[in-house]
Amino acid sequence: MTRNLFWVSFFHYLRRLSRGYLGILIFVALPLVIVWVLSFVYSQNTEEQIYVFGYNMISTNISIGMMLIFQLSGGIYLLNYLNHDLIKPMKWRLKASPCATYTLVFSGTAACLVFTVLQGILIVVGTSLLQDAYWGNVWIVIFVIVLVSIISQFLNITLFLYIRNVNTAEYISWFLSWAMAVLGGLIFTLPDNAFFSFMKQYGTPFSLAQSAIRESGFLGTSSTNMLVCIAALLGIAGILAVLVIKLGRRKLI
Amino acid sequence: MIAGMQNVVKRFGNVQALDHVSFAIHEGEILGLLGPNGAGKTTVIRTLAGLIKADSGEITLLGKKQDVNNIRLKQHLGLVTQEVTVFEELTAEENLRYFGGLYGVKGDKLRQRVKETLEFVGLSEHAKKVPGKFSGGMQRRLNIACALVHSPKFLIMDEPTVGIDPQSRSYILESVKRLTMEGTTLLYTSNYMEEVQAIASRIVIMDQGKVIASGTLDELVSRIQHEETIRITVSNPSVALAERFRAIQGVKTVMHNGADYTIVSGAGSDNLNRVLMVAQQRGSVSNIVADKPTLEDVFLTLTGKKLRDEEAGV
Repeated sequence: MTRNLFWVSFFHYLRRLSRGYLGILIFVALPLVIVWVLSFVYSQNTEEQIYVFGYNMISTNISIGMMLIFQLSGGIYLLNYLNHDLIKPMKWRLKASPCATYTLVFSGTAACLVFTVLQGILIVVGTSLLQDAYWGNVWIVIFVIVLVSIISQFLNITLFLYIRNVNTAEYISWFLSWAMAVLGGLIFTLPDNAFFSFMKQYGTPFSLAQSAIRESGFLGTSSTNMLVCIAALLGIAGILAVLVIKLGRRKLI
Repeated sequence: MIAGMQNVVKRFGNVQALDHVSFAIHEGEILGLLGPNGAGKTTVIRTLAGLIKADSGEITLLGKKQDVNNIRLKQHLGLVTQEVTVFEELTAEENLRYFGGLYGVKGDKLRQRVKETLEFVGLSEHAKKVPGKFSGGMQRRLNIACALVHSPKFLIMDEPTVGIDPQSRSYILESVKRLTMEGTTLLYTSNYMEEVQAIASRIVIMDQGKVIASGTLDELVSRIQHEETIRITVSNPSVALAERFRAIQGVKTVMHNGADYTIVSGAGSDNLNRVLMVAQQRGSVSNIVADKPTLEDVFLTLTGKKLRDEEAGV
């Protein structure tokens, strides 16, 4: 019964996600537009070689960063569904059904994960075809997208369970994504010292994911480095999973 | 008995939401739960449906002890929420498919139930539309349909007609009556006394977390009936006629205004025929009405408040 309810809810959330046209616009079209605009602007102001092995290096840097920012913010979908289904009046109807709250949360998380991963892949494909961006090893990239999306979902569930005010949680979620991007060196050049070097390469999920993707192709220097970054992302996902389970047991059931 | 509460107590901080509430709902009946805002109706519903835990007392549903998260019992229960709780981004049909699926209805049976339920609430032609395109009344009907799609044995309706037009209200009330004819037992809460009066087989009146009266409408009315009032209009009014009315046994007062007389007798006097006979001896009667106390009078007597005033004040 529980398994059946999981799939009923999973497809229900996927259907709702597919109807959120504004969300799709923000999470797929907007990053593509930003990549296109920023690549054009930066290409005008550089004297470095833009194309390497037929790939546009400016687009590549911006594409990886933008994809990761929007992946890290992808958990906002889940945040809004949890708010609608578990806080607003809908909670009484759903609580009255035989579907346990944790089944709803699991299925919602899984659906949002699948959806945001697909959005991430669309950005990868879009920037590869339209902007000549280089993404390295495609399987590593997909794996990293999945990991970043898992981290984003768990992070947003944690924010939701702690804060309970979806607007505040949403602002914090966006802030964290962009703060990570800043520390990852995407927005502006960071001071050249040990702390910022570390932050840029390993300091946040954004930096770890960025490093893993870069290290998976000719932009990288060591596959060990890539494995370290992926292991660290797995570790963060694991820690957040434990936190979500603990908080969920206390606050959701 | 299909559901019941025995001495149920529920507190929210310092507020006693339910104060030793006891009542029973029998199979096939519509129990009307009446009370002003804040009386505890919604808390009764939530504890009965196992959505919140009672502090003490016993709740039974379908012969079993009810508790929070009792999934087996929830399967037989339908809840029509006070607010419209449907998914705005899904069509009417998709909403029903989802809620049916949550109760384990699937395949052909689900398709059939979705079709039947849409027909039942009169939304078949709007199956492919999203609720945002519906009027308030249609949204309310979809709200009800979502609680019916799995054919519950016991349906709880929490003020299902709030804020809708009279036409939709009467459609919903007719649907409720049809449901009981099909064997569903209902707990119906409302702020509208005329609704409860029209559909409920028994009524429970709550105020400040307590059950203050329960019974059929006639039982409730007889509890508060102290006087009978007859209003009569005659063709030949006179002071002498007023005196003749006054002389009838049990008559307390007679008021005379032109051709109209108001005659107040003690409870159980049954003076209607006598008054008519006396009036006809003095000429023809153009109108005669015996005023019966309404549920409104019962409520006013028991709580000292008018339900509508309470509502307007919130």
